[in-house]
Amino acid sequence: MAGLLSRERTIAPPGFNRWLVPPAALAIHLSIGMAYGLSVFWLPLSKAIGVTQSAPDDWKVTQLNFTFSVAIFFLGSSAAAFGAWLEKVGPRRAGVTAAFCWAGGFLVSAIGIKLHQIALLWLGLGVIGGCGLGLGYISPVSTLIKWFPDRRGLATGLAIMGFGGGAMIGAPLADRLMKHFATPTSVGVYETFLVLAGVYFVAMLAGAFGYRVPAPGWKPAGWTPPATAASAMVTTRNVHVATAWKTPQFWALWGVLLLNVSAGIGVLSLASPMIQEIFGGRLIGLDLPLAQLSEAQKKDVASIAAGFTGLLSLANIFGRLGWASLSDRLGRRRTYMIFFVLGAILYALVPTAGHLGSTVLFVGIFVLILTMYGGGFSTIPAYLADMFGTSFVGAIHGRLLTSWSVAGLLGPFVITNIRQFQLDRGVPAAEAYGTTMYILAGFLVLGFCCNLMVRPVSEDRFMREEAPAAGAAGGR
Amino acid sequence: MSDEGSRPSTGSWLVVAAAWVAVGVPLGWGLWNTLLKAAVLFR
Repeated sequence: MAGLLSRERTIAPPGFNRWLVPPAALAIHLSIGMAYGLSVFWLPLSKAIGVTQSAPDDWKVTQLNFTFSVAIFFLGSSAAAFGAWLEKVGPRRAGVTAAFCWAGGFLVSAIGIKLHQIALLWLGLGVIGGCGLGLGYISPVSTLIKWFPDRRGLATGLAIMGFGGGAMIGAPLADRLMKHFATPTSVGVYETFLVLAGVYFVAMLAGAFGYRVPAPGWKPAGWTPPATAASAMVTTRNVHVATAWKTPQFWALWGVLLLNVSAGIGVLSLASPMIQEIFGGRLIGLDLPLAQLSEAQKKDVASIAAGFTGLLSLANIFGRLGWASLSDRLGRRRTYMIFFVLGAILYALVPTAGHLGSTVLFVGIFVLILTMYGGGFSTIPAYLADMFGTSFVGAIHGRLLTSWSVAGLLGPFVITNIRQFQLDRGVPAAEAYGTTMYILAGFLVLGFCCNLMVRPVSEDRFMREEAPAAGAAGGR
Repeated sequence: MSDEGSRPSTGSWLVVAAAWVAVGVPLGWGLWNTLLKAAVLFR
């Protein structure tokens, strides 16, 4: 087994088809993407003892939701901590470890459900599963960039698209499984966790064993690397991970990701209540505010809001692929300039769309915003490869993902507190969103400034000789 | 060892197609479910 996982065993033979690597990466990202769908378990688990309704000893949804926060925190931490290890041992060993962690996280959490120990749930899906998320997320990045030197954005976009799409498969699957396993004495989550652990373990192992790294000196047939860098913002040399994170470029990009993701997370958390409170009865053809609707009408409105959220998840997924691919033509810096300029304008237009009462304009703005949120995630690995070279891009990307962990706390914190502050001052719920959106637009203006600060890495930061270990089989 | 310039064999494209179907079918199922959910917005 150890030999099978070694970097040397993953070096692709001559004639290997590089288009086999993106589906392998997708298998892993679609599995770990279920992290976004974990909320499907919280309501049933809040009735794990009472079954039909919550019993006094049942867990609260807020306690359960904490699992997701822990998982995202450990995603960023483990990606940062194990990125250099990944570059050393290769993507296959990292992918297999991710499979053990993610599936193992479900198993430990299943035991937690059986014993009704919330700490085991946090340890399972939060800590262990979170490490699986981090390792799984970064495992294909540097490999894909080395296989697709001509289309870095497209390659990473294809993989990272999977992380956005995992919940679309996992959440309805989990829902069906829970209904299948539910009995008068059980909500069926324990059994569902066991099945999902098995499904994800197999899918992720298949993905990990599908990974191949290109042989040294490999390049796509018919492609000639530019003799000199195509632009000052695209290097053909390498910066060591230990040096990269000490450069101003790294921290400027850290800020770029932090602000783009914080604004996106903020707007995502608001999307559903916002459309309901701003448009209220107009969503079902009645000119009434939400508070004056009957319970049945409110249910119809909530169902439309759920459809809106679904549409946003599609925008997020296609944005990951579309913007990252487009960045191959536009350049990464220009792509992020578009995210921040167009994004800030669109965020600032949301209150106007609400005042105009135009659902189409409102939905259209949100769809565009969410494509750029997804695009921010998928374009950043290629941006890093452009700035710091391909040899350590997996490890550098891992360290950069700590900004995601911070954004996961910052975005919701800002949104919740601004909204509460306004409500406490007597601002009507439907109008409390305006200031929030302007502040999120301000996040993007700051992101624009961070992106402006991204300049070519100075000469003394580049490695004099190429590192012998990391990326040994990668295209240098 | 360098396979610079070597093109993938024709047979490898069949394996590529199978691999994409393997990830594409569940992804398509997920997309379809989401589209159905989103369709409520346009009724």
